Amino acid sequence: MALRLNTNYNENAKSWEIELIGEVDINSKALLKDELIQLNEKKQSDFVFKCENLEYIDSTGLGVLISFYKNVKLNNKTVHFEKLKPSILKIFTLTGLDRIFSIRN
Amino acid sequence: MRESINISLPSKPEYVSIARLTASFVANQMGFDIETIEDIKLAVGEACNNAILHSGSEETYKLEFINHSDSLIIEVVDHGKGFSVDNVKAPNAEDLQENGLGLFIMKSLMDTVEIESNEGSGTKIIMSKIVE
Repeated sequence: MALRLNTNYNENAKSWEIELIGEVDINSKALLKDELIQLNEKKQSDFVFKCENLEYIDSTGLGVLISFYKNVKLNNKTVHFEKLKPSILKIFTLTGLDRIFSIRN
Repeated sequence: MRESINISLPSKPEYVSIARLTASFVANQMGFDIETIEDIKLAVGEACNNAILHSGSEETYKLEFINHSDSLIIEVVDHGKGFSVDNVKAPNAEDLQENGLGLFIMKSLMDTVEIESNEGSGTKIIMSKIVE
């Protein structure tokens, strides 16, 4: 299973919504990274990651999210994660990412 | 009883999912619960990432899954440039870095993780998990 991304700008919430579908790993991280950079160039705003269908993420995928978070924070914007599966939430907690990202389950 | 499954993969990102699928399959057959299967799958994925990041793309690396009585032993061996294990630190939430998370994740999810790495001669990661 690869990674599929659905992206949309929510005018009401004034934020980018990114649905992550599948796996963010060493093979798909470049796709995610490029897309995020493009969206952030198009419009600087908050980012909401919808993770209901995110099946897998590894350290390389987390690395992309960490460096992206650092960029977004420079613009005084935030990054939210919604509906993480228990196995994914476990990795966020294990690595301490639950303390820097806003997680809404 | 001791049975083993060996696979050899090109050191390229697009093949890591084969290793993860094999890990899930073997762990499932040995009777691990779903949560533990996910943990093993991720630990194997991280070991493969490590092999790929530390070796050239023309090379291959090997995985061995050993079913030894009540535990699953997984060995991942590459012949890349190796790295210094001492430089790996636990992640710090205040100063998160992109690198170094993989080894931390492996060590957190498996019962034992041993890493033998020498600069110039490659890396061997041996990890195990006992069926509860």
